[in-house]
This record gives sequence, C-alpha cells and structure tokens, in this order.
Amino acid sequence: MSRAHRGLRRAATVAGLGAAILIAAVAWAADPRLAARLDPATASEVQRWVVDTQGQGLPTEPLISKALEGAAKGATSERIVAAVRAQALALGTARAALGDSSSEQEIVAGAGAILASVPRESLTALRAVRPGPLVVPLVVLADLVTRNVPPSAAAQTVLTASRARARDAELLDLRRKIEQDITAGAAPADAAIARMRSFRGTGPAPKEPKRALRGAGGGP
Amino acid sequence: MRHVPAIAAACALAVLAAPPARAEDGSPATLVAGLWPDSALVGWSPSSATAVRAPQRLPGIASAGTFAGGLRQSTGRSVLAGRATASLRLPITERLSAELLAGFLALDGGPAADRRTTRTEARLRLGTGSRYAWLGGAFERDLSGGQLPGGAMLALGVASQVRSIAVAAALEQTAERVRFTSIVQHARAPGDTVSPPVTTLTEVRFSTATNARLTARWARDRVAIESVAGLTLDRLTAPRRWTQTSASVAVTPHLALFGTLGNAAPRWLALDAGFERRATLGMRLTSRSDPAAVREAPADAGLPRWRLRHLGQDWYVIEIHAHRVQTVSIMGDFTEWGPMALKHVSGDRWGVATRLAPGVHRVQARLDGGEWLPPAGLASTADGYNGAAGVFVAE
Repeated sequence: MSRAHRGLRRAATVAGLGAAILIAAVAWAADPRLAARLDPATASEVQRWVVDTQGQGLPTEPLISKALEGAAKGATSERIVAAVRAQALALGTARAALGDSSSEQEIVAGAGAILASVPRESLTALRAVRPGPLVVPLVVLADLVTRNVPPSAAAQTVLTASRARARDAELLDLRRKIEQDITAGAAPADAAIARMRSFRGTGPAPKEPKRALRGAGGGP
Repeated sequence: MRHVPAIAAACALAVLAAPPARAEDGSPATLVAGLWPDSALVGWSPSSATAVRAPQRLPGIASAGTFAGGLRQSTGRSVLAGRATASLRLPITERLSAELLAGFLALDGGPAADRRTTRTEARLRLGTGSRYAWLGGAFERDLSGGQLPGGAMLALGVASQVRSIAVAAALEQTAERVRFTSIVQHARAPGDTVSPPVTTLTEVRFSTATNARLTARWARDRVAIESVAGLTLDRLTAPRRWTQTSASVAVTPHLALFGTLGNAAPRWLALDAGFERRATLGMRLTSRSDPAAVREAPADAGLPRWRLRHLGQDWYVIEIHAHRVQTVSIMGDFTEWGPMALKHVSGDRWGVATRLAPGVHRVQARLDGGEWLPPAGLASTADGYNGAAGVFVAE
C-alpha cells in the first residue's frame, strides 16, 4: 500500500469519526424526547430543523411532535426527516401568509392548512375578512381539503361563513355537516358549496332575490 | 300533448349532453322538464342552487353568474326564452358594499314578438350575511328597436332569514311591455242612416312599471317551498297582481320533482316564458348532487366516536364511544405520541382525564389493539405518514 493511499484512508477515518462525534454531539444536545425515541442520526437531523426554525422565531414543538409521531408509527428515518422538514417549511409559509402578528396557535393551525394543500392566498384572505383568532377557521379549512373538497371551494366556504360572522362553533358545525354529506355520498365540492349557502341565506339568493322562484325548480 | 314525444326526446338528448359539474367552482348542469295537460316545458334552469359562482380570486370580492334558457310549449304557441345574469360585489366597509348587476333577456315567439333586452343595475348594499338592505338604480335597453322609457329606474329592498325561512321584500321598477285596446266610436255624419263604424285599436307600448313583491322560501331536508307575490302598477293599465309558488322534493341526490303554480310575472322578476296562468309538474335533473337528498349517514361508521369535555383550567376528559371492545387507547401530541389507555366508564363509554395546552391538537384512537385511526366527529388531517389524524382545538 502506498504512502498516499494510507494517508487517504487515515483522512477518511478521521472524517468519519468526526462526523460521528458531531452527530452524537448534536443528538446529545437535542431535545431529550428526540434522543430517547429516535436513532442519533435522525435525532440530529430533526434537531437541525428545530434549531433553524427556532432561529426564525417559529414554534418548534410541532416539529418535535411530528418526529415523535413518526417514531410511534414506525416510519423510516428518511420519512421522519421529510415530514419534519415539510412541517418546518409550512410553519414559515403560514406565518408569512397570516402576518407577523399571528399567534403561535394560528401559525400551527395555518401550517396544518398549508400541509393540506390550502393555497397561502386563502390564509391571507381569511386574515383579511375575519377579525379575531383564526385557529378554528384554519382547522376547518384544512379538514375540508383533507376530505377532498377542492381548495378553492373550501376556501370560498370558510370565507363566506367568516364574512357572515360565523362563530367558531358554527364553523365546526358546518364542517360536521359537510362531513356527513360526503360520508353519505355527496360530492365533496357540492357538499361544501351547498352548505355554504346557509350562510348566504337559503332563500332568495342574496344578490338577486328575483330568482327565488326558480330555486325550487320553477324553470323557464 | 302532441309535443310530448319531441319534448321527451329533447330531454333525453339534453341529459346526455349535460356538461359535468366543474368541481372547482361547483357549477352544475341542471335540466328541467315539466308537463301539464296543455303545455310542456324543457330547458335549463338557474335555480338559486345552481348559480355559477366564480372562484374568488380577490379578497372580499364576490361574483356570480347564472344562465337559464328553455322552450315552453302551450296550446298553439311555443316560446323560447333565455336569460343570463352576472353580478359583482365590492366591499366598501365591513357592512357596506357596492353591487353591479347586468342581465340579458331574450324572448322569441311569444305574443310580445321577439324581444331582446338588457338591464344594468348598480346597488348599494348595507348589512351582512343573510340580513341586508339595498338601494339601487337600473337602466334597461331594448335591442329589438323598441322605445323604452328613459331615465333610471329605482330598486330597493330588504332581505332577512329567520331559522329556515328566508324572506325578501322589494320595490323595483321595470320597463314592461303593455298591450292595451281602445275602442273608437266615430261620429255620425249628418244624414247618415246607419250606425257609425266602431274601430278597435290595439297599441303596444313600454311603460315604467313599479313592482312591489314579497318572496319567501322555506327549506328543510329534502323539501323546499318558495313563493313570490307581487303587485305591478303602471300608468297605462290597471294594477296587476301576480303570484307564483313552487315546491320541490329531492328524490335522489341528482333528481328532484317539482310543481309550480302561478300566473305571469314581470319578465325580470321571474323568467317565465308563459304569458298565462299556468301549473306544471316536472322533474329536475342535475349533475351536481343535492346534499339534502342524501341519506343522513352516521359520520362515525367504523370509527370510534369522540367527545371532549372541559373540566376547568387545562383539564379535559376525553371520551371515546365504542361498542363491544375490550380496550381503547389514544395517542396524540399531548401524549408525546405514546399510547394512553382509556378506562371503561359505562356502556360504550371509555374515558380519561388529561391536561391539554390551549391550541390545536392531533389525536388518533385504537380499538382492541387494531389500527390507529382518527376518531369520528373530529376534523382530520393527513399525518405525513400515509395516515390521518384527528384535529381538535382546546380553548
């Protein structure tokens, strides 16, 4: 074996040891819950995202929870890190969409909506039309999209209800009814739009009451 | 009745040609067909449940459009009618908004001959949700060469909803085509031995009519009843009262039976190609399912039912209702995603008291060591691990 070859091997060994020590150090410094439930490499990677997210002033508990959830469900290391990364990015997107003054709970709920494929513009629109906390509207929005209501229809439904000053309990009731309709066989978009009309007024269409007769099939 | 086969064939063709509902904006295709001993109708209906609403792209701005068209065949007369409307609402303040409405109406083949009219209206709307009042001005223009009254026409009204009954009252001016007949008795010339001739003159004019109307709608589950009644006043004819009532029953998510009864209403207030008293029984097919017609199914089929009770401060009782099981467990962010066993309370009730921080929480439940599933009755979200979790909010 040549001298150069031996030198290369030694360098590789040192680098490997260094990386292992680094991972162990990060894992040691990681949240003890991560260290207890994840292998050192995964814990280290998750911790990196936690530190990065913390640096942005975003809540980090959802990241740890997401990692622990993956561990509980026997997910692979790659899957856990991917889920944590997606959660971290969603938190940042949610805050950008909802505004810097958003509460931690709103950001967490908004991240759930972003992960459910709700467009960030819908979050911004919701902030614009609804005074007060947005936690429940965001949860309802994410739920509707999870139930295959198209994102635009889901956003329209929640925005319409919000403009009508629907309270949190009314929004949760709206969500429950849409879920029942979908479970019973209605198309998700149809269920959402039909239920949304209860906030527009089920009777004469609010914008054009003159059409009221045909609502029950008067026809031409 | 001789037109029934042709109308039935038209119905079948229309059903086959019906465009599918676009999931993005929920616009449906709706076919209406009706029969009565001496008349029939077939067409597309823009019921209040079938308005095409554009996806909202700008915050606070709402837009909508409808199209309706149809052929009414009565004894010896067929009338083809169509109407398209569009509206745009722009918020000014939280309770005040401006609304622009534009419509096009065409009637071919009726006693009014061929008429094509446009109506544009601007409104100020005060109120929120289903309770509001509006005040506006409208202009109508006849594209068929008719001379319509000039100037703006007034429109004002209020709408409200109490439980499942929605009512609206309005005072609106429209340009109505009025046919009136006058009898001219010619003077007897000196020396005439026969009676002077009598001439009957029929004249058609447009006049600004003022319409007062009251609309009410009640809907519950599969049944909807709507009624509109009004009084039309103009300078050329006697006051006319009109009323129309419609009832429908959703038979399946895509099929409803309806019946209507009424007389002719001002053309912009009810798109009705019939110019006489009428009654119709018919069916409405729509490509968009009517949730009201869908059998109410328990949302918890196959899933444990969830209940959360607040004990005070940050203490809660989580209850799961599950039949004939030996063990019930939950796990969620508040258990650090470790299993938490519930205790059997009574009957199908299992419960556990736990502390919950305010905010959004995610949870799954498991019965008898089976699969972890989101409890029924909760919002749900994908968990990022090929499953779903229930979501709830602790105050």
